[in-house]
Amino acid sequence: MNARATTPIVSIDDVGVHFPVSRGRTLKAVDGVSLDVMPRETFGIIGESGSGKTTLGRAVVCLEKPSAGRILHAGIDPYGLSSRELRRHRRGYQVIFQDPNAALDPRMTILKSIREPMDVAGELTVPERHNRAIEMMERVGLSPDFASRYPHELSGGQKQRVCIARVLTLRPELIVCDEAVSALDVSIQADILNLFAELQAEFGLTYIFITHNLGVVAHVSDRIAVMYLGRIVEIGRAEDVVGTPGHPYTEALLSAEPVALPAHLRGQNRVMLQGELPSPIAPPSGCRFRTRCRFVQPICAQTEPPWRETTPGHASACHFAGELPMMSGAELHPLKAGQPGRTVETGL
Amino acid sequence: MSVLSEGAVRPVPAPRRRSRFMAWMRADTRAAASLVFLILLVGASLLANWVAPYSPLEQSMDILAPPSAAHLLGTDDLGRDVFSRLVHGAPASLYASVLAVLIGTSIGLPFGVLAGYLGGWVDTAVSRVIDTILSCPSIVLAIAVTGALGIGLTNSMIAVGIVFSPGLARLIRVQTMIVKGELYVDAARTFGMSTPRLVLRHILPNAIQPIIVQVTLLLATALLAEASLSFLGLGVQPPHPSWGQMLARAYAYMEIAPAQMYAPGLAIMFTALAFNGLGESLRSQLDPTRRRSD
Repeated sequence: MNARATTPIVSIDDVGVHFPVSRGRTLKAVDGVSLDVMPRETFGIIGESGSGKTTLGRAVVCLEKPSAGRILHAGIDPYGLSSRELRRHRRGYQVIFQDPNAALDPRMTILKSIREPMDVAGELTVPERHNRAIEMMERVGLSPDFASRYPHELSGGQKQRVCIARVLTLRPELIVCDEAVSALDVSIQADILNLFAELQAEFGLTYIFITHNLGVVAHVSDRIAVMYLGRIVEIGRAEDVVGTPGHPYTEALLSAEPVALPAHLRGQNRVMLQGELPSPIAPPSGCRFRTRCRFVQPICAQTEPPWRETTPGHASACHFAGELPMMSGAELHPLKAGQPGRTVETGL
Repeated sequence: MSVLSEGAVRPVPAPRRRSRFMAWMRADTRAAASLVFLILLVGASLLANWVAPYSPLEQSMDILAPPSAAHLLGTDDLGRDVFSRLVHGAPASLYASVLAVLIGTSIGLPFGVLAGYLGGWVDTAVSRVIDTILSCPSIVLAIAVTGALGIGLTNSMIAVGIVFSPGLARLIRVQTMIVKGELYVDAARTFGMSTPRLVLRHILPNAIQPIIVQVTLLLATALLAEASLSFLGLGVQPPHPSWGQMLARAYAYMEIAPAQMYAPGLAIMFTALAFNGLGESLRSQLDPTRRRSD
């Protein structure tokens, strides 16, 4: 057990996922990302649309094959396995998608959908699969009456619970939650997030939590990586990243989050991002964020910024990390800063 | 950590299968009428010797007679009873259309699914072959294939089936490409589902809907193709009856006895309509999101 605690459950090593686009160009959705996820932690990945966070998540569960680098699952390279071994191995690495509606086959009843992973595994007897499916439905807060219904008869939150019950039947070690609550109502979001936290304690799960919502990720994650244009720009413990951002992009993300305060109580501390996300087909030279950075210097266009560790375990890919006159999380977020914990409040 | 409970399988409300069929038939009169018509047709085909009052080959001096008590639908140019020929022609026509569609789907479906699922050079290769076949006029192609295989109803319907296959392949290819990108397919893949099972469990059931409709349309088209090929002398050989051949014969006497065309023509039309009606209803019935919640 001791050895396992020190082996990352997912080790991403200089991974790139490239897609060919027209005229021989390639879109580097993920470009040189390295990170380790330790067992039983919740690792948040945050970034705006097009930052490559979903592609990275898909690569972790072997839905996209890395074009460069490699991803190890507890020390095992899944692409080094035979296809039969890979099919068996990947049961431990599951994903919950953003759109629960699209993740369920419209022609299968709820019970059939939940049983499907066990049917594929073929390890339990049919009555055992049936019973476990019903138990999982109850565990995620669904009445067994839904068993013979079809997905279109359920609400979004109920469908997401079905998806969660479905992956839990496999007893996975890691679950990638790809915007798993973004498509849901705010009240349902909190319920589902609490369910995730309970299940983590109960089943010893590791989560990779992918979202564009900093409020969600800061509350549920132990560590956070901030992605921009296929790269990680900042990584660290959740309270460090949110409390003292080291990269100007993180500062802008924090600032973009809505604050539940009347306008006259809010400070004037707003950092507005200018311009659009540059094309990942032809990313800017040097630092990728330089086209939108308020602290941009000539060096930013010339050399790629190295990793600079501001405090132990908290690093930023910025030439001037730790030296910039950036606002802290407390200034940007009078309500949230100082209390990043594991509790989830409604009305995030 | 076992959370499995001891004891029996826990019951869940089961869907009621038998009543679902009756509810479907009650809700969709057209489907019910189509089904009844097709059952009657198959019944008449099987019992042709007892249903038909005369032998389909028995000639008399009473030619091109209008309907009467003796000859329900009149007689043809050789004095044969039209009703008897119609009943005896039904098996040939049904056999022909079913055979052609079976051959068309059994060639078209696997190639289309393969091209759509695998993509890449397989898709390119299959698509070019499809384009090549589609560029030939279908009836000419059917005549050429029949010429190569030899004259006869079965061979001419194999030819028609081959002509049908590229259209079906193209349709299922596009559907497969759409369904392949669905999230539930990705989800099934993360459960470790093998590719053949993925195709059978998720892709085919979700891609097949337009194929069902297309197949029922093709059943009707095959009926007409059988008529064309029999007309050209490549299908059923005289004196044995088929609807297409009867229509072709009646066509020759159109100016002196136009009523001759009604019986085979209407038989073809109603059968085609029944196939279409049943197919359309079947498609919406198989779609759980369309089903009325009861």
